[in-house]
Amino acid sequence: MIPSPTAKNYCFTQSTFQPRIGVYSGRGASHSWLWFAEILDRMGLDDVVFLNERDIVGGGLDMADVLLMSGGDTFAIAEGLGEEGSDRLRNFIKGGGLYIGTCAGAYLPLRSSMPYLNRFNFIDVKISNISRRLSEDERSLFEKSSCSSYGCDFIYHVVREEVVLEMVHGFPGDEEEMIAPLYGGPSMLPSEDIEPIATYNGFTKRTRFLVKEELAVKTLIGKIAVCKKIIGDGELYILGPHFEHPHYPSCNLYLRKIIFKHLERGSFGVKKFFYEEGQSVSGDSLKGYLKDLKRGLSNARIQASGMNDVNREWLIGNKLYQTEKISVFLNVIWDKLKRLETLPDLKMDEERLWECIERSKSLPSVIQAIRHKMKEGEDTTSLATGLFENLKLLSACFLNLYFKSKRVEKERPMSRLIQAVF
Amino acid sequence: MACEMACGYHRDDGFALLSSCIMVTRGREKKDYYAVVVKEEENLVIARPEGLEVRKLRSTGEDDKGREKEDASAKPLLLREPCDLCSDRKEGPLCLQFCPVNAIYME
Amino acid sequence: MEYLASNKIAIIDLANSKITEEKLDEDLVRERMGGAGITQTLYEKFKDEEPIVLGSGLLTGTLVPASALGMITAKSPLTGKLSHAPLTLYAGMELKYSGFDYIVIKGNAPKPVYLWIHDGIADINDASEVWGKDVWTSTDLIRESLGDLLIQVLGIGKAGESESDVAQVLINYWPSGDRWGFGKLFGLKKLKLVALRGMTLLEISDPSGFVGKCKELLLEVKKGPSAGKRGIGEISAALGEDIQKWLEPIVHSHRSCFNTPYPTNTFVFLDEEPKRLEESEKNEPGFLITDLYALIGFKKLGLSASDACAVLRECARYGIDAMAVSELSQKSGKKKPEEIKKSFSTLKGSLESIGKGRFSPWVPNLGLSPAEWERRQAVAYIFGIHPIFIQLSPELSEERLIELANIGTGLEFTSETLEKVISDITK
Repeated sequence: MIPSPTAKNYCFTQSTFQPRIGVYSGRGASHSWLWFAEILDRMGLDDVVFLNERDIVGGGLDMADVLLMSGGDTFAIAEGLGEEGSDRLRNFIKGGGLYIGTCAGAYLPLRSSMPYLNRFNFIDVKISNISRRLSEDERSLFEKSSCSSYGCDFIYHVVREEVVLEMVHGFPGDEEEMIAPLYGGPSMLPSEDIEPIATYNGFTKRTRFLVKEELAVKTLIGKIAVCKKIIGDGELYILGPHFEHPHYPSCNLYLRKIIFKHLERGSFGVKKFFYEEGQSVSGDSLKGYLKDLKRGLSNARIQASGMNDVNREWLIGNKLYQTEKISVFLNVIWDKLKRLETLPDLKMDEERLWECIERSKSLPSVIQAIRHKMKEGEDTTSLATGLFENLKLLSACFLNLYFKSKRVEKERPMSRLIQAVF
Repeated sequence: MACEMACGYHRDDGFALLSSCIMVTRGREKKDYYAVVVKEEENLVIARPEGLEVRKLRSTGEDDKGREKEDASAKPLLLREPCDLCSDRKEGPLCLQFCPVNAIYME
Repeated sequence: MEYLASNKIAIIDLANSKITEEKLDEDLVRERMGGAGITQTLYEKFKDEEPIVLGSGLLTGTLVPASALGMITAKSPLTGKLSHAPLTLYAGMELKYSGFDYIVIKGNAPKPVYLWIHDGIADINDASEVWGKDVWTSTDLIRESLGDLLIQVLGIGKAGESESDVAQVLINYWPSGDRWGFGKLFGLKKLKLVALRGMTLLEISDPSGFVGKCKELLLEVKKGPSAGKRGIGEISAALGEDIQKWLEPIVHSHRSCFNTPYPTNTFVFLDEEPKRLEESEKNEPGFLITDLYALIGFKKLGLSASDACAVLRECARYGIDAMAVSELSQKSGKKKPEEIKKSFSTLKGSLESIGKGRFSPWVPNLGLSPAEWERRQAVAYIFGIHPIFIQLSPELSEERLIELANIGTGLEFTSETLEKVISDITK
């Protein structure tokens, strides 16, 4: 839809050669989606939106060209998206969308008979790191650690941190080998349904072995780490390692190449242009709002810092959350906020800003309540669950605001031109 | 605390304490009880007045029986990096060089 | 002011709860440098409104050895003159990282409040939950409420609330170098405390150059006159009032202020075995002695070390200048701990231990002439160097400090500028 040029708040994006990138931040997502935010920011890609399961079910993918799905709890992601979400995702890809899944995002579309996951089944490929491939003795090695339940089987993990990949079908000019970080992602067996892009080829001195090296070699080496499948007009890229880890620039660059290669396929169509709605606020009013937001964040950060002596974990869904993780979300917002403040003539979406302020205000008292209950020896899991949910929503809301502000900042000259013309 | 500042400088090229991998726990000042904690790749090294403890990261230090399995798919938090002994500096660890009271040494 | 600063001044009017922020003007820094050079200027600017100015030195909170000092600048109720009190331990450093370089507090609040200074945000909060409570309880409550044990608290006790001339502003639980009765000023303003916490990053103009010079200086300092010494006992010996033997049986440890090579504070255990290394099960097993003269004063009254330190602890809780207590107790013939403690609210009299100049006499003179002592204090308060340690370390010369300031800030201070600022703040 091309917006009416006489519409209020009309903005004409300069980002005609930037895809609109959706990052999944909803149910089941861990915190590694924040890494996508960081690397996209560094790459200067600012047409980015953060989508939760409700956004996707509600049609949020209709305006996206790319969906990035990072790590977390695959089952929770699948359950959250549900049948409708999986249909939306399927149609998105068929219609020309690009799906990039790392770790849990890689497991999600793989063929499975498990509840919730069986609604996806976009790719017919088997994984090598599943217990049915192990001998009885080998299975017993995983009694206490390094695995995730999967029906009668379990998914097991043989290494963490760095692995060496062989780029069997990389982009022209790519190095033959790439080092990437692995935290529980899949290793896949060959299949006619996929095109292998990279295989696991070795380890580095930073590789942390969770089992004997022999078993790690048997499970990983030669297996597929990155693969691709075309569905309709779109593509899926499945990556076992976390190519979005901010400390691995070669991997980040590779993601960029995937995105822009997809751009060349010409699948982005009318999504190049979009309509920025919402009442914006600037000047002294904005300063006041930002101060309120900073106040809430600062109070929360300090409360979170005060928890650093408390070495506690919560099992939320199938994943462990540590007290330190509270600071992860807060620090990302804080750092981005500081960057925003340096932009001259900053304008921000008032409603979203207000939502961020309200969410940030509620954090300190929840953290304090958790601390008090811990001291009393009471269970704090439900408080922690609510806290992390709020942190995710706050982060996503703020990052939407952040990227939108950057877009508006870039568009200002074009907007004035359009207003002058019309 | 100068050690924290020095390590923070090593990480951030400015003065800050947030990303330091060595920390002095100062929260029990009324008891005059302090400890120095260094984050390593897999361990926390905790130096207390009464002795040294090396604890696996994410452990509570208590008996691990009945504890949840270690989450092999846990993503790193990237808040504080593990100590690298300032491997890119020829003079070695900055914390050691900047401790004003010579409380740190390396064997 | 781009480097080694947060570039912000907070102007807080407690009367109408208004907070404004100003940029730290680089021209102001070029002219007045930092620390007391600027706090004094800010005081003069707002002097009709009886301000209290908090500040940090130009190099406070960096890797410059002993860069621990912050300060309170205000008109002393005792002397009627503009004076500076040192903020040591970790308070000076935390002030620097709180997001403001200077804080001007003016006006009187209509009801008890406290200031919460955090990450460049200044908040005026209701203090009804802590007003009326002693210093230790207030600090505990505030840290609990705001959620972090690393929050630094500049607070008053009942002495300040009742506007005693000898009320002190304390740092967390411990006496500061406030000999000026600034606690009374806090009380008049109905300001119970200032809580500080920040996670700022300070940028450096020439990072490797600055840090390299800091390292060189530290190596020299460590070989200097203070090498191998520690605690208030050694300082007392240097003053000819050796208390080491008297104090030793209850000494637990010696503590430094931020980045200060000489531990100028001594922690004693009063309710716990002093040699205990494990964490005490008692919440408040002892006391950190930061005020040597006060301790000597109580010793002269004939108190045992334990009794003297116990009285010091009660002075700290009450928020009263312990040196003034010891002097006035001496004058009134009080020698027993209980009678001394009971007299806090009724103490009156003139004090001889009040300083004559601008800088707190809490800092002992370690063998300098009065003029030299005052000059070294001025330098300490401008650059933010520990005011006791600067006397122990001739390596921290004016030239070295100017050089460091220039490398760190990217500005070009000269010895002439320093001379002018010293002259202004010592007259």
